[in-house]
Amino acid sequence: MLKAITALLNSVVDTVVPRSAEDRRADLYRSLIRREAKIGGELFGPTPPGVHREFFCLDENTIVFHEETTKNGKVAIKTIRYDVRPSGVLKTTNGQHYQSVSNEEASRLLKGLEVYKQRVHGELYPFVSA
Amino acid sequence: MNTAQLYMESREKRPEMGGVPVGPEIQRSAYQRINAIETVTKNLRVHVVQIPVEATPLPATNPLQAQQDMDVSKGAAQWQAGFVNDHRQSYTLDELLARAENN
Repeated sequence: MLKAITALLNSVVDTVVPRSAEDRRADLYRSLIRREAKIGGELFGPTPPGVHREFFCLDENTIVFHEETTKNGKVAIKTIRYDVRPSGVLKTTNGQHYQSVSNEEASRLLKGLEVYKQRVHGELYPFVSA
Repeated sequence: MNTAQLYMESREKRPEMGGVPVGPEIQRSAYQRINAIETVTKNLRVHVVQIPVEATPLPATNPLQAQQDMDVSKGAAQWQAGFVNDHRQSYTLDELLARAENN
């Protein structure tokens, strides 16, 4: 298991085209987010055919839910971005206006994030102490 | 834990990782990722816990915390149970999270 994870992570590095050290680090960081997003998308159960789902922490203040549904050749995209600010939690859907998040929704989001954290840590970063 | 400590710890763990080293670049990025996830979780928790604390006196055991612990320990497998016989093609995130909570 750990050997497989290590090989996977090292393969991420191999896919990053070496440019400047800073660019390489940024590419690596984005690659890790993409892998986390895939794990996060699995938290909500199996996706029906034609549905691609991602859920991930973008940075210290932002959580993203992204879903693409392909039906009859058309792709519908829904992106929900949660901004966790000191004053409260706001969300925007598909880049529209921000709205505040109810305490119930924030509570469920927190539970989702806790499971995401647990899975990402266990499946991608087991070599880092909690 | 800083990057150097992380790297040293990872070096110590190399034997149990099958002898395949995790490069320092990955270690550094992994640490940054975990730090970001921890921070956003901590900040979100502040908002979630605030309202129940103000609304009702806390008993000796915080039921919200206990519920969170239970949900986390249940893991994602429990979440999936409610979706097995459901053939809807699309859900809002809130619906997904609400269903996960009910499972």
